[in-house]
Amino acid sequence: MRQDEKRDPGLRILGFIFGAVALWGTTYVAASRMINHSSASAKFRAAGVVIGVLGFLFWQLATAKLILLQDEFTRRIHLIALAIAFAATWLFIFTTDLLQRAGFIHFVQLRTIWLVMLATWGLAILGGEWYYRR
Amino acid sequence: MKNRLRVLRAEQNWSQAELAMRVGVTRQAINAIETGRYDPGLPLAMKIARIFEQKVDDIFELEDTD
Repeated sequence: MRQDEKRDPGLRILGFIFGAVALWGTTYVAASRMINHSSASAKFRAAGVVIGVLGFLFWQLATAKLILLQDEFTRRIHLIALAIAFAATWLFIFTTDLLQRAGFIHFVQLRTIWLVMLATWGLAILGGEWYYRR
Repeated sequence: MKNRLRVLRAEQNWSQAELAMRVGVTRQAINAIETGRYDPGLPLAMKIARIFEQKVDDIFELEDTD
């Protein structure tokens, strides 16, 4: 038996999650620095965008792979959580659009939107687990 | 849908975790099925039936509200 097969699968998954998040975080910080560099050329900033997108894409694919590795019950929780995150983000965008056009708020950063989606997704996973556990 | 999973598991003197391991799902999945909050898909229902050497119909039963 190979050494990596002896390891706890839970630990392997945890390592995979940390690895994907660390890569996303690292590429995000690097991309932010590159695109915010005032004297940087367009090529340099474009490279920053590509690095940021690739890091995020890898994290998305890793997360999707992880979800698909789970049993049908856990996948159900993730499906519900993703649906909730999608609906909540849509509601957030719709509401802020109206508030902006009505002149109540000035400007909403795109970053805020994906952070809302991420937070809603996380909360929905916890909520789903709580619902089935209680 | 109602089921006899808790009774069958008790007859075998298995914990939820033990049954979960045998079927290849999480303990939370077994708990959710037993409490009626989650109806398993056909492959999982058949695996459970096979573990207990019963027919799916003998474990899971449709209710009028289903």
